[in-house]
Amino acid sequence: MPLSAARDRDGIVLALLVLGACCLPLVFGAYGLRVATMVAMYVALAQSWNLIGGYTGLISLAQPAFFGSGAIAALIFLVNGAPVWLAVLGSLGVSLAIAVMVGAPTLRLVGHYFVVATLLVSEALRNLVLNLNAFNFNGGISVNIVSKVGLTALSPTTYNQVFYYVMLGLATTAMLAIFALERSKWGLALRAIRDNQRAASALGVAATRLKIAVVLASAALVSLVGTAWAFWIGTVETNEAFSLTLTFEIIVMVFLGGRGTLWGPLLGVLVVLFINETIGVELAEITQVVSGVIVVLVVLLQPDGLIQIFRQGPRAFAPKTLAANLRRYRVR
Amino acid sequence: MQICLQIFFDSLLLIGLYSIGALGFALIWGVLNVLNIAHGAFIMLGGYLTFLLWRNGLDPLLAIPATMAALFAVGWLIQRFLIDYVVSGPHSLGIALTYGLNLVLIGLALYFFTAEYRSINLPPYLRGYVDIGGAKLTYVRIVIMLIAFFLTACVWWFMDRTELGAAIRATRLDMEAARLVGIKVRTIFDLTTGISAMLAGAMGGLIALLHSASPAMGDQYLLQVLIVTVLGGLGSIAGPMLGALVLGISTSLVSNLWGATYSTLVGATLVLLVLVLKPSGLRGRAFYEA
Repeated sequence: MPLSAARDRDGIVLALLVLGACCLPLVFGAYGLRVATMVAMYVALAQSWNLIGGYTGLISLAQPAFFGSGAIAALIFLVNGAPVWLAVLGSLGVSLAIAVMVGAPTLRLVGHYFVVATLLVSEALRNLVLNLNAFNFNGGISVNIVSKVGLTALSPTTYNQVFYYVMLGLATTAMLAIFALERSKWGLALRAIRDNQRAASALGVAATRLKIAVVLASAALVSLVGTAWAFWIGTVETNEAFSLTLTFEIIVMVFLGGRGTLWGPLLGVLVVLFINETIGVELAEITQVVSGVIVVLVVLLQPDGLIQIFRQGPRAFAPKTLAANLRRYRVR
Repeated sequence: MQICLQIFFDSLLLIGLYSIGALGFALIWGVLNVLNIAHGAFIMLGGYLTFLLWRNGLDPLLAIPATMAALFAVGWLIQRFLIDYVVSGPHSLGIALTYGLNLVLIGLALYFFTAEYRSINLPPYLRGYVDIGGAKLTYVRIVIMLIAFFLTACVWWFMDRTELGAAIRATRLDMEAARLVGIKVRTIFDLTTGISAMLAGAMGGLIALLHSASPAMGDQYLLQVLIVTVLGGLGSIAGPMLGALVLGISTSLVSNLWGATYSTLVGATLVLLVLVLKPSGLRGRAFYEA
């Protein structure tokens, strides 16, 4: 299939998916809607990470810093009497400020040093917030802020629907961002940086500027998702907002589906959430073992992600392909 | 005076523990260029194994070497059957693989041992303490310090004075050249991960002896190990030790003065400062040098 036809097909599928997702509240009950909201939230987060990790090749673990600052800063704004719009914009500003402060020094680092630095940024910020004692905030807020979001007049069903559409909007934005990136020269530039930064720079790609732009875009999206999440669930615990586990989960989803692709992260989110819902929360440790085994198997046997099944058809899971994948990165 | 001594002894203990953990971690990072997230799980395995051996009647101090031997085998097998298959891929694959492994091992620990803290009842000869200038130094802490420093010295001797250590260093410097002079690179990789897991196991066992074993202990100490490794830089025995020195002193200083909640913050801030000012670590070298 020619590239332009594939892109047109991508656009049509995306439009249909969004349209279908908009109608979901008509058929779903409370539980179904909750799961659908989670899916939308994870898709938004997965695509934001895909932007950094998949297309640019930077394994960033700084996402909790943006998610947490988006959530906690919005809470602090609300608790201190700020209106909702100010809370949203203010927390976005805080996250972007953090992204600039973090991005400038860490983006110079190479390889594992970048991974470790971004991990420590998240952990440092989490500990900083836990020790914060200001603005009616003492390492956490025990107040449920649902009443402060200004939607108390709504019934619980409508309330949940509002946040479903908010998350869906964010997820759509993230998908569209990746979609647009795939069609633009910036997508090619990012992949060139990922595959060989020195060569890309020599050909005139402004690597550092592009990387900072990507980090900022990703941080903004993650921060908005964090804010929406905080408003949705009402009471937010600091450790949960800055949880590294969430980010690792997201990374696993992106890897599972296929990093650096439009549909891979969506596929990964659906597969992982389906597994989690099937096994259930009562058996959390079993879920953990199963997802760990899946990660190991995917890395060994299908390092380009499950998306390969759409590209190669059933051949992607033929024993011969799997064996070749297994041998691909083996030490000789 | 008393608090100074207390800080001094606390930091000596932490330096010992962090050193052996970080030496193992830096070894895999340096030789295989893999950021081993499962290092935390190795630490946890060491803790539980020591606990299990003690519960089955072994003296805790004898359980430590047994644990180390078992973890050496675990590391060897994990390298041969898992990590070997991602070594020449992009480095994100190694992170993903070891993260998956970490999930599996922690999940299994949760399943078999639950999230409860398991601690070891010390034998009589490890109870009691010496009083030095008002600072209490328990026997078990002295023993743990001695074991940790002994192990660090052993690693130095092995890497610097034996043929196998030289082969590891050569592989790290240039894999192809090492192969040309007849070094079996795959065996060296197995050995490297074996030693790394063995040191992690020792760290976990000593922590179980000092505090307790729990499924969460791995991730908690992995963070400290990361901080120490980057602070000191790769490529030397002295690097992780220097990192451990800086983190050990600052951690015990901060937790004695302000409280333990600030210690991670201080460690992380130190690392970020070092990374900004000197991206190869405090004592980083391009390759292994004693």
